[in-house]
Order: sequence, then structure tokens, then C-alpha cells
Amino acid sequence: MHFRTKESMTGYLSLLPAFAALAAIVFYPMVNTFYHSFTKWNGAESHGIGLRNYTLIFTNGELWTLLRNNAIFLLSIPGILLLSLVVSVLLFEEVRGWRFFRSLYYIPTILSSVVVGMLMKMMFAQSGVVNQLLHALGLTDGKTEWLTQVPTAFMVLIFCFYWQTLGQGALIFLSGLSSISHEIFESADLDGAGWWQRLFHITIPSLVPTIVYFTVTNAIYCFIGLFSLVYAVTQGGPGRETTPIDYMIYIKAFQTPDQLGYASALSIVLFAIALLASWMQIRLSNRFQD
Amino acid sequence: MHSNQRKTLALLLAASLALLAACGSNDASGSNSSAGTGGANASGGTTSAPSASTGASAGEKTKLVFWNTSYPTIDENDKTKKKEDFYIYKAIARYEAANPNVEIVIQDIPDGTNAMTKFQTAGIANNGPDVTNLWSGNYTMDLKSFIQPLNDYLKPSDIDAMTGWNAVTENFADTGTIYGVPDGSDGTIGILYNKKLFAAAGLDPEQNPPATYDDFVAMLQKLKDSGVTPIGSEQDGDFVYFLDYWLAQTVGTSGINDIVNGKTNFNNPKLLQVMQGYVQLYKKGFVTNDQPQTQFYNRKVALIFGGYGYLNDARAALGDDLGMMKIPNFSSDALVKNGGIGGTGADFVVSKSSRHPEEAVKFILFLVSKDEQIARFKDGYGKLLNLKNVDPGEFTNDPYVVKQQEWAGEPATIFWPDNIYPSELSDYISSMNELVVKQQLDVRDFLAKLDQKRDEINKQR
Repeated sequence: MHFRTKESMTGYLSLLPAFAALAAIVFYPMVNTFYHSFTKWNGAESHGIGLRNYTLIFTNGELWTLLRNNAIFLLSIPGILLLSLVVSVLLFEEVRGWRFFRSLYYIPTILSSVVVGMLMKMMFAQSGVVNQLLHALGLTDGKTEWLTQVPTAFMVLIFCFYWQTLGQGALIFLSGLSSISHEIFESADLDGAGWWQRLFHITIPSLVPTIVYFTVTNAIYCFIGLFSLVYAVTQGGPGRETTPIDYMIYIKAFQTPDQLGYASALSIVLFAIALLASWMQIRLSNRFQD
Repeated sequence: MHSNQRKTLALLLAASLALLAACGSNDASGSNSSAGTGGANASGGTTSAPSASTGASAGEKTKLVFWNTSYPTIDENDKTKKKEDFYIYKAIARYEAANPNVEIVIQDIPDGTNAMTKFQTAGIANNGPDVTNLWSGNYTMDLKSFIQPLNDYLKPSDIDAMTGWNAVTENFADTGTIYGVPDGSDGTIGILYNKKLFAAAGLDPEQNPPATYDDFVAMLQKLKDSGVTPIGSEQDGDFVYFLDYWLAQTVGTSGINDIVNGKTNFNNPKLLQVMQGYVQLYKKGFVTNDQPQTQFYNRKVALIFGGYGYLNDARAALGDDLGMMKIPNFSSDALVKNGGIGGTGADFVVSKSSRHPEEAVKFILFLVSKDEQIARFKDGYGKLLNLKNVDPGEFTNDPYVVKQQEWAGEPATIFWPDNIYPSELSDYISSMNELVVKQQLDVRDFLAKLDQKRDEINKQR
């Protein structure tokens, strides 16, 4: 055998275990889910029902509520983007106490969503510390039911999302800032550029790839990563008012009998939506970068 | 390519395919040969009872895995309490002493819907426990693909000794495929109240119990005027304890079935009237949803809705100030009067992947035997007995417990409607009801949404 062929074969063979693992862990479940999305399936028995699951998803009115809920989280991304950016710039410029704040912002990132959720649930309970504080300050009567009504339930969830993401965002932007040449800042300083001018004309343009990365990953999170937070804080309530699509997939798959087929179809719909949203974002950001 | 390389490639491909095949073999309805269930099948009542020694050779102990979803194994007030001091561990020790060839492995599992989720996923993976405890009625029936039918393992005398079999039999029938063994009784949901707070408001429900909704509202108004919050209720408005009773008594048991089957609608004038009355309680400021039980025990709330399950804690907190009465009828023309909701809300089931179903049923029958039901009652466990002709005097002298045991047997006690509704509908009702009590969803829209959901579920069946 020719040396090059032999080398190629060795390369492919060495990749095979990884591909086999990927096939078993990723591709097989995907194909299986796609197949079962056309069935009525209870985990034990399934039979084909064609497009009925999809028809139901698009006609029962539930999808639009779920999409609205995902959209609310999506719309909150610019806020956390801005916050992370500001915090990272301040940390990068080593404002007083930056070491302390760096740790402070990062701590929530290492906590699981469930821990954050349980903590917030206690804090925002009717007799929780938030109400007590607001009452002590004379701002409310201290009886606000944060988690049992909208929009306050959403506010708490978004607060949790921000609190947990801020450290991660600051870290990502800090690494982006580190890659910007110091000479540019020094030149700008010499030319008399102020802090805001440096921010808008040097820092932010240099960080566009980082901003794109942060936005895309968080947009994907807003579609497929909210389950644990919602489960821990509101359980999708009140009603279905804070139920995003991934939480509904859980409800249909594991808390509703015979609905694994429907849950599979909803997963495929979510996959398509997340794919489309990511693609659109990347297209837009490419145009922005150009 | 060298033959060695071809062999290696073929081996790797074969290994990959085998891995995929292994991941794909999750057909729980298929052969149970690996689990060795002894031929049990779900077609109903035709299971051939396997030998108890299946899977265990002579001299080997039969190991039964018991997923404990309901027996307490942690004392919140005394974290140093040893596991061996809890009732279920003592019961298992007694069973193992009497059956030295059996070992019970107990694993604690979260209760309620989480238990059902875990049981379902284990069923799909075909690695469920031998025995576990689930909510009865449709909650259990929804999982029947993963549960052993028990008809062949139960003797007529077993069935004759207990009540609550309708809750574990397909279609709530008197005879048919039995999927579980009823686990005690929850008694009947009534009203637990603070006698002192009532007396301060000039009320004595023992002498003058409220008979209708209007009487009830007048009573609550007096409580409110006396400066106390009248009702403590859970976030979802205690739908399954309280509103369910008013709805069910208005249409009767057959009416609930008609609603479930789609013959009549939730959105009808009678139920609309009930819903409007229910929301009025909130509009008039009679209800708090903030830590209802704690506030009741701390004497800040005058009443809560509850059955036997709350009696122990309420008695400990209020002593002789504790009162108990039935939920008043919504109106004088209700089809069921002077009752409540309750019954056998839970059951023991044997997983289809159990290798020892006969031994599992024996263990279950031990747990629900008279001696054990009395023992767990005396241990403070939150269930009454579901045995026929039971004399409460044998195990209690608390008049309210005696009354609960009597109420549970009355024909006016309606079986938990949320166990009769399809479980998906029950979940939907509870979640949407939160919006109703916060007045973010109009009651007419709520009832219309329930009909829509019910129709959707029935269409999918």
C-alpha cells in the first residue's frame, strides 16, 4: 500500500471510535427523535400517525405562547450584552476593587441553574427578603407576589438569567479585550481620545467577533437552555405564561402520558427554530462585520 | 489494503454497529427476557405467575428493589434520627425477618409527578423497580405499559379485605385488569379551623355550620371583620382540595365522567356559577396564598382546607383549639351533598421489569395488611386505613381521626376528581387555575380553555 493511502487509512481508523461515539450519543437520538415525531409513542409502543403531531403543534395555539416566552428571553439579550460589556471594560481598566468585583461577578456562573433558581425562589417569595427589603425602604407594601403573576415572574427569571450570565459574559469580553493591542489604546490616549470615544471607536469595534459569539450562544441558550431555570423558579407558571419551548418538551415527554411522539415533533420544531435563529444572527453579524 | 487492516476495520465497524444496536434496544414492550419477568404481559389479567425463585438459585436471596416515594425517611425537626427508626425501615426489617429468603432494597424517590416521570423513564429503559408507590386512578393507568397486571397474584380474600380497588382497576370498574394495590386512605378533605379565632369573630361552626356558599361567605366576612385572614390556600388555589369538590358536587360523579368524555362541557352555566363564587372569595380579600399551613399553625389564618394528612401537624400546633368541619355545599340543589373529596389517592404497583412479581405482591400485601397499616398510622404516617369494617378505636382516640375514618367511608365522599381527569388535564387545570385566582384569566375563558384541552386530549387518544 502506498504510504499516503496507509496514512489516510490510519487517520480515518483513528477517527472511527470518535465518530461511533458521536453516532451513538448524538446522531442516533436525533434520527430516532425525527422518526418518532411522526408517531404516537408512549416509550413502549409506537405507531405512525403521519404529520398529526406537527399539525397539532401548529394549530392548537400553544406554540405561539411558547414562542412568545422564548422571544421575551431573546429580547433580554441586548441588556446582558451591554452589562457584560460595561463590567468587562471596567474590570479591564482595573477600576478600584476590580479583583473583588471580578470574583463577585464570576461566582454565580459556577452555580447550577437549579441552585440559582431555588435561591431566587426563596428571595422572591411573598415573605422573602426582597419584599422585606422593599417594605423596609417604604417602596411597596411588602406583599408583592413576584412569581405568581406576569410580568413579575418574567422579571425574576430574567434577573436570574442576567445574574448567572454576567460573570461568563465579563470573562468572554475580558479575553476579547486582552487580544486588542495596547498600542492602539496608547495612541488614542496620546491623540486625546476620552473614555467614551475609546469605548465606541476602539473597544466595541474590536470586540465584534466576541459580541457575535456571546449573542449567538446566548440566543441558543434562550431556546434550549432555559429548562432548569424555569423548572426551579416558576415551573412554567402561572398558567403557561413563563413556559418556553424546551420546558414544554419536558412536560409533554415526561409528565404527560403517550405524548413522547408529540414531544419529539416539538423538539424538531425547536431544532429548526434554533438553527434558523442562529443562521440569521450569523448572517447579520457578518454583514455588520463587513 | 492488508487483510489485517481489513479485519481491524471490520471489527471496528461491527463494534460501532453493536453499540448503536445496544442503544436502540429500548423496546420496553418487547421481550423481557433479559429481565426475566416470567411472561407477564399487559394485555390484562392473563399473566402467568412465575416462580418466586425466578432469577435466584437455591440458597440465594431474592432481592426486591422498592422505590419509596411516600414513606418519610428524614425528620425535618430531627436530622439526627436514624433511618432504622423510621416506620418503613422497621416494616422492612419485620418482613425480612419473616421472609429470610427476601432482601428489600429501599431507594428514596421524589413524590408526585416526579415519581411518575422517573417510573416512566425507567419503564422505557426496562430497569424499573420491583415495587413503587404512585398516585392512583388515571395517573397509574397512564403508565400501565410499564406496570404488571396483578389479577393473577391477588386472591379474592385480598381484594375483599380492602377498599379502593376502583382506583386501581382499568376504567374505574369493579372488575377488570388490576394495575395496583390501593394504599390506605386519604380520608376526606374538609376544613380545619382555629376555634379561638372563630369564637373571637362570634362564630361557632359546631353549632351553626355553614350550609351553603352564602353562609360560608357570611362566615368569612365575620372572620375578616375580626381582623384575621379567613383562608390560607396554596398557590394554585387548592383546586384539588376545595374547588374540585364544589365542581364535582354540582355535576355529580357521573357528571365528571361526562365532562371527561366530552358529553358535557366545563363551560356550562352551573360550573360557571361555581367558578364565579370561587373567584369572589379572592376578590373579597378572604384568601392568602402565602405559606398557608404555617400561617394557620401560627394562628394568623383562621382556616385551611385539608384532610387527615394535615391533622397531626394541626393538632400539634393548635391542640384543643383545632376544629374540623366539612366543606359547605355550594348550593342547596347540588347533586352530591354533605360530602367531600378523598379516598385512596395512591397505590403500590409492580414494575413490568420486575423479575419477582409474585414476591413483590407479597411484600405489598404485607405493607397494606391490617397490622402494618395500624403500625404506620401509629408512627404518624399521613394515611388512614383502607380496610373494610375497621374500628378506629383499635388505633386512635382522637375524635377527628375517627371522624375522618367515618367520612372516608361515606357514599357522599367523591373520589379525587384529579385522579379521574386525564392526568394531562389535571396538570393543565392546576396551572391555569393559578391565573384565575390572581384574576389574570377570566373564569369563562378558563372553562373554555379546559374544554379545548379536554377535546385535544380526547382527540389524541
